[in-house]
Amino acid sequence: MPEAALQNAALDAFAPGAGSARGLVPVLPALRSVVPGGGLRPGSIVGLGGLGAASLGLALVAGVSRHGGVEGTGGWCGVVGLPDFGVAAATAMGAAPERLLLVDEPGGRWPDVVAALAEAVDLILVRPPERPGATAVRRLTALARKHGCVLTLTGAFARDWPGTRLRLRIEDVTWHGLGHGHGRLRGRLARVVAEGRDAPGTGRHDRLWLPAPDGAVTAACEHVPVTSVPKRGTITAIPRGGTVTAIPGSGFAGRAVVVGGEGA
Amino acid sequence: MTRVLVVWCPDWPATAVGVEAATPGVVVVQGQVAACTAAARAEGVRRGQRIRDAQRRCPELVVRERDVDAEGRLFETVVDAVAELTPKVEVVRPGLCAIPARGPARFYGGEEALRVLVQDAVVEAGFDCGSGIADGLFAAELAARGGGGAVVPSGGSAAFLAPYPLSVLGRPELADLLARLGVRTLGGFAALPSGHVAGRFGADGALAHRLARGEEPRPLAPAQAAADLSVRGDFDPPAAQAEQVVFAAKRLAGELHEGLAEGGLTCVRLEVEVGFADGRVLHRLWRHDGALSTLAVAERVRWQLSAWRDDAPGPDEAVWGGVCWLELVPDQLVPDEGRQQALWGQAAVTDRIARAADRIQTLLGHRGITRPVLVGGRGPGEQVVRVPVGDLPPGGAPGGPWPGRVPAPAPAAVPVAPPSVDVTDASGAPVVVSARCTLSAPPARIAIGGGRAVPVSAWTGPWPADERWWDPDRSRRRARFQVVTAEGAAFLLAVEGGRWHVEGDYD
Repeated sequence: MPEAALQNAALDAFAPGAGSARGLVPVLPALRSVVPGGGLRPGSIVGLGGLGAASLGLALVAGVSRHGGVEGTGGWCGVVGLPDFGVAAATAMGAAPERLLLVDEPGGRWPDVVAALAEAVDLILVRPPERPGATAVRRLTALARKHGCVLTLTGAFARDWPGTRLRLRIEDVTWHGLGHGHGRLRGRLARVVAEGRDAPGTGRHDRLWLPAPDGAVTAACEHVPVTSVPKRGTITAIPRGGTVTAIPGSGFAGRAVVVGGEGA
Repeated sequence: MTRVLVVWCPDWPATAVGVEAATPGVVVVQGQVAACTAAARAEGVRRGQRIRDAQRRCPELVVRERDVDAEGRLFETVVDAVAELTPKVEVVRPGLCAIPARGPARFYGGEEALRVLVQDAVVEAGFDCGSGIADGLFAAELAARGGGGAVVPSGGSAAFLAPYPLSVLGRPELADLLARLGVRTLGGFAALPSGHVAGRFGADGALAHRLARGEEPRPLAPAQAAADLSVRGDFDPPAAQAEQVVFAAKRLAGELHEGLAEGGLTCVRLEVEVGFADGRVLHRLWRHDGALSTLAVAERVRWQLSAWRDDAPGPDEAVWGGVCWLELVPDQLVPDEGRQQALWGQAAVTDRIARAADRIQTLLGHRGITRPVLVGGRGPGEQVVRVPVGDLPPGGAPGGPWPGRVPAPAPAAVPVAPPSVDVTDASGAPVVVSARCTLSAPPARIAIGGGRAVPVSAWTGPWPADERWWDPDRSRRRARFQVVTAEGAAFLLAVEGGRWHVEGDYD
């Protein structure tokens, strides 16, 4: 987290609060190029969907948690109906866990929970457990607009919410760092696309690391990409006699193992 | 100086979780020994040790997690036993309670007689204890701890305290500093001129110095509260759930603090009175070292209520009438000297947030809304603990190297109930990991939760994790894999006991 925090702080120094100046709910610096206006409109509805919806949700929460609130000291976020919310990943993106409120199992009371939170927090990430009824949609949309709280919808019923002005999704995904039986996940290079009435036409898009190797969200150009598939080495065992035998196909990349070799 | 009788139950955290003094046992917090039984102490177990060290000294050790609620609840039994003899009982903390000794001593015919009587009453209730009488709480507590108890004569506190080491002050930094200055006992510390102590060690040092000299920790505050600062909340209809009362207590505590703050006061002692629909009134005094925060007040109300409910016949269907009113009465007012707020971080829960959390808790119960706290762990699910809003977070930093932890980036979704996966190789046979962590064949396809099989485009593993092998109940052996599918999804899979499941989703 500290590295991500420093990085974000450094970015802020060069691009001072693009969102907060115009009364927008801030997003992570890397997402400012994608989100129209450089921030989310208070009281608006944002829809997330498809592959990468969880990461986008985390990124939006992290943006508010880190840059939101009074004078950008950090805002509060509510997460409703996502018991699998990856807190560790959100923290790596820059979120402050002490300013997150998690309601894992709201059940049928989710509209009441969202309504209660809308008065208090800057952004609510909600996965409705059922198809939202017309009454709930009207009530929550009005409450969100009244209190300036951004309602972010995810999950199977996110598309059933009328009045969503901005939809975020990712496409053209490449995971880096994993080979066949070796390596480890380093990061994902993806194109984040914003569509909807707030981003007219074909929408806006940008290639981002979501997440980067340290867990943060950064623009694709800022990182020297790690090689897609690391070179696979062979284990070389040197027995006592000094004969060299290569063992292909074992999972240790580029490392020589010496077996009792005094001459090694 | 007031004469104080202190009843001290040794190793209360261990007693509260049901470990007998004769069995070697420890109560642990964050892997460190927080309290141990006498039998364990005889084997060389000490507070602050790591479990591993304690178990090395005493292999048959019983290890339990600390349960603060149980401590408060069970101590009510002790307090009730003492309250049979004399009504005004102060709970200093679970395991330690105090009563003003002067009146009861006259009634029962002398201080020693009172001391023995109280001690016998607690022992009859089934708890080991020591009791002591002295001037002031500090000396009385030490008297109670020393070999079953003693009576320190009036005015003899300073002489009684003199031989004790500085560690009894409970201020390790101060004790360490004084030891390096050549002062090793309370007597030596008390001999220093008080003005110089205050100049060198500040307000807290001056307070410790007063304790060491056998004086009250604070000079008497002669100012009486002009107005009635007690606050009261009524429930109409009567509150049927403890949670409702606890939330009201939080709000009332806030009002109480506002009232106190206006007068520049703070209270060291708080009387909580709960009135029930059937006319019964439950009241208890609570003492705290610093100012009682609203959360601490709510927690004490909860202890009080849960202790009552345990006594009630048939707690589930008991018609417990409901709580009609709750009153908080500040007692022992002292001038507020102020406290330094933390400079960084410390996200303060604002009123708006607290109000929203209260509403959600009334809808869904106390555990309905939580705040995450990062703790140490290897798997992505173990690194986060969800703490209900209003509860104190577990202490300690998420330090530790955790060798073998899943490397960053962390998965975006960590399923609570990990869905099962079918992992098959190119020929369609299930992939098996042997006990020596060799793979039967590279995984070629995965099908999550019995769904459609998706080709695997890249994978890595197995990463074995053999955790808590020393604990038969919690030990587990698993091997982790990272898998990227042809559709661009990435998963953290784990195989345990031959079954595969999704531990994390890098969605």
